[in-house]
Amino acid sequence: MNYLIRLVDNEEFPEEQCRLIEQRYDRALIHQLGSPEQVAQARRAWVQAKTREDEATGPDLSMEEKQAIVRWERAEAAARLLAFEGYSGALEDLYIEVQVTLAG
Amino acid sequence: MMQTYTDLFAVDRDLIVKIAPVPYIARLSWANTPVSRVTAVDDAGDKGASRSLRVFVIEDEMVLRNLLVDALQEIPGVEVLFYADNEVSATNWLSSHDSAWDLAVVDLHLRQGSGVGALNWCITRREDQRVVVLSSQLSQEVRRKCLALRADAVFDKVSEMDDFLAYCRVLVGPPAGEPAAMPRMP
Repeated sequence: MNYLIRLVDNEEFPEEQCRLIEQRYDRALIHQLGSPEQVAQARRAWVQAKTREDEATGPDLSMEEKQAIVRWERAEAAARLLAFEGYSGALEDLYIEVQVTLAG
Repeated sequence: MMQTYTDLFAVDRDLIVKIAPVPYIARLSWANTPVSRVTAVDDAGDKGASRSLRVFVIEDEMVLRNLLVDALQEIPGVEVLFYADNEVSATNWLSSHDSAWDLAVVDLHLRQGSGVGALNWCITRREDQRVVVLSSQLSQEVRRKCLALRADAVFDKVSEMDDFLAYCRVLVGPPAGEPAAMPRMP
């Protein structure tokens, strides 16, 4: 399992700055979660738990699913702050996509 | 857009004329620092018999501050005394607790003011007190400027956090019976 990080809908930063922000976001996620593999696992667990949460007719989330949501969202919040710290502008409109791939 | 070196340190120059006397600052509502993590502060500077590192943290992002404080408090002997989330609170606390702290951890990028003001304030600290910059957007020029302002070390929050924590462990000292190491920066 692997993942890709990409700053999307960006009109604020030049290409070089984008790559730097993505790198800092990635490093911060790894620091929070332990390793690249754990980043991928945490993201995947979050996507699965959120998908189940959105299914209105489904059963309540398990404790593990709730923990998966909290774990990723905490790490993501910290990583986002660390990646953008020192920049100004309409940062709240920027979105960092984390796409988990099963290959590689 | 990215804050430039000039932007960051221009705030510092402004402070020279804008800084107000402490009694006035104390009346400003936004100068009040949250006190939830305050522990007993001994302004006489007595460290007691046990080895400890009393830390003052300047960080305005609550999420990052909590992560930092949690990481510091995992180090045996580290005690986070107080935190400030803006420049006035930081310099206000430092001015009234000269001897109470062993290590000040300074974020340069604050929403209100700049960590550079606190760094300036610490220039006249005691020889055994340490000041570390833990920030983002640290160009070589910013690092040099921080060291010129007597910062003992400069660490990037993302890429050098482990080095920062290792530095703190060295400051606390080894367990009894083991030789001490010299703190080093990356």
